[in-house]
Amino acid sequence: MSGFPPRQLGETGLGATESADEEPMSFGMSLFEVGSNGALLHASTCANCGAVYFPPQPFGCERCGAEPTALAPIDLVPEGVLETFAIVHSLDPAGEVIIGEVRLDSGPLVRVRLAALADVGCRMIGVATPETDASNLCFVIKER
Amino acid sequence: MNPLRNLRQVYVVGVGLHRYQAASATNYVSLGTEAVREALTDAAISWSAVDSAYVANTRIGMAAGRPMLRYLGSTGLAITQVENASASGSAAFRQAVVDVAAGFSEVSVAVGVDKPDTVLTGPGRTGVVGLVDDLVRPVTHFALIAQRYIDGTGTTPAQIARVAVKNLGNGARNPYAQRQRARTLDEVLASKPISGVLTALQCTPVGEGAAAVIVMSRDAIERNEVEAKRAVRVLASVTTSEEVSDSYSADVALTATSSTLLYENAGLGPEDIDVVEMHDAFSIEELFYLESMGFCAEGEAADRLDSGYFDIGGRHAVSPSGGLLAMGHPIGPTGVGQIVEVSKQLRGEAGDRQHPEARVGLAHMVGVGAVCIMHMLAGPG
Repeated sequence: MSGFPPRQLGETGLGATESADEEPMSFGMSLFEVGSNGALLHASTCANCGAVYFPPQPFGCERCGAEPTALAPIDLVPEGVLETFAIVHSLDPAGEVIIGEVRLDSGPLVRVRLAALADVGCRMIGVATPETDASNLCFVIKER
Repeated sequence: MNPLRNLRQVYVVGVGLHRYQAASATNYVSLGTEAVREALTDAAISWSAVDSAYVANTRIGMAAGRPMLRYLGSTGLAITQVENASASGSAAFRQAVVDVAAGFSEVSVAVGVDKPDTVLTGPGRTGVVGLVDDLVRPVTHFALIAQRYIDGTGTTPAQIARVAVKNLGNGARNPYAQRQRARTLDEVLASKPISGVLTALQCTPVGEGAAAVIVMSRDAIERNEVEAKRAVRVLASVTTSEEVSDSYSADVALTATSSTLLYENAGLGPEDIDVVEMHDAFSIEELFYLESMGFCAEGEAADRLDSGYFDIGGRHAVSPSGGLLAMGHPIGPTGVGQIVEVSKQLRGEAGDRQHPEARVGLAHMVGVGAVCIMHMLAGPG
């Protein structure tokens, strides 16, 4: 199941924006929560076909067309394998950031911020700490 | 979908451009009317012969067509605005073709005109927001795909940059291109790093400009005494949108699906195509789209490009206009401008950029959504 963010193929910085100092929200719902056992991603799943969506959405199932009532909240553990990454140089004033694509163990491919460079194939985990950025989830190599 | 070949034959008979350029004080009306007047002159017809107009733009606002076209004369023609993100111009051309093919119009014009300005997008207003959407601009979307391509095929960053070297070289021979300076591989690699392996000269310049294409039925060609030996036939037109899949790149899958449909509808394959204009907004795109379109096997595009296979004068001339990387990407005009270049090539009127014995051409655009629009055209020879 696709976990892609909304398509962004234009050339003018298209796409959703939000204030950098606010916690990322989707429909007023935080994209994640941090508990004593670590972070959890808030996603949605289709009761009809089993599709999983991150970010969560309330409109209906893209895959089977089920109505919004078929969509239910589900939490995903933010762990998976790094499939690719890019160092983004051009985001003034944010400075250089590393964006990665992590295939979660639960299936969706999510685009995330990496705390530091990591090799493709590394196991990664999403964390939110004062050292990374407590207002956003940042992925680090998962120590075994 | 009903193939175009089952409907009335449609021909490109007039093409025109306003040079693509960086943002300027020039009004969009001047940009657009210059392109349309050039197309009318090319076709040797008057504005009064045109039954309908499809106007593509993304950033100059609602209802841009009539305030521009009114200065060509008062004819009361049908005017329709068309917006389909980067593929807006391609969609306008398709609508003009469908209009004539279905018999609603005898003569139609597709006009793309745009200027840099703020833009509101549907995807940005759905409320479905990921963790890093504010950090992932289109260039990073393609930088991520580029890194996958490198890891999967062994292609080097320098080989990806060679796409820009080729297309900037073509653009240097195109007086309508935004970038008209050839660059060396070292210059491309040393330009400002943007995202991943992509440097500034591997990213399309987004500016302003205009393009116009006039299409006609066969009857109208005779009635208007248009030079039939310069008429370029539209063989096939397809449009598709992204499907849910597990693919890491919807762009690759969408282009592959569209190409298959295009070839089926035209009854021709990639081996028959001489000239290709494609959505090379970022250098990496040209490599994986060439593979998706069947011009070579997966992972082979970079080696073929190095060998000159995709040069003007090679097996297939790819982005002979300079493509989005050199010709530029003013968005509304881009898809129409591709048809202008393909038509010039198929007529043998591309001057210094002429690909020898060009008979069949292909135009391809993708746009936010994602959507894909492809056309195949055949020369009068």
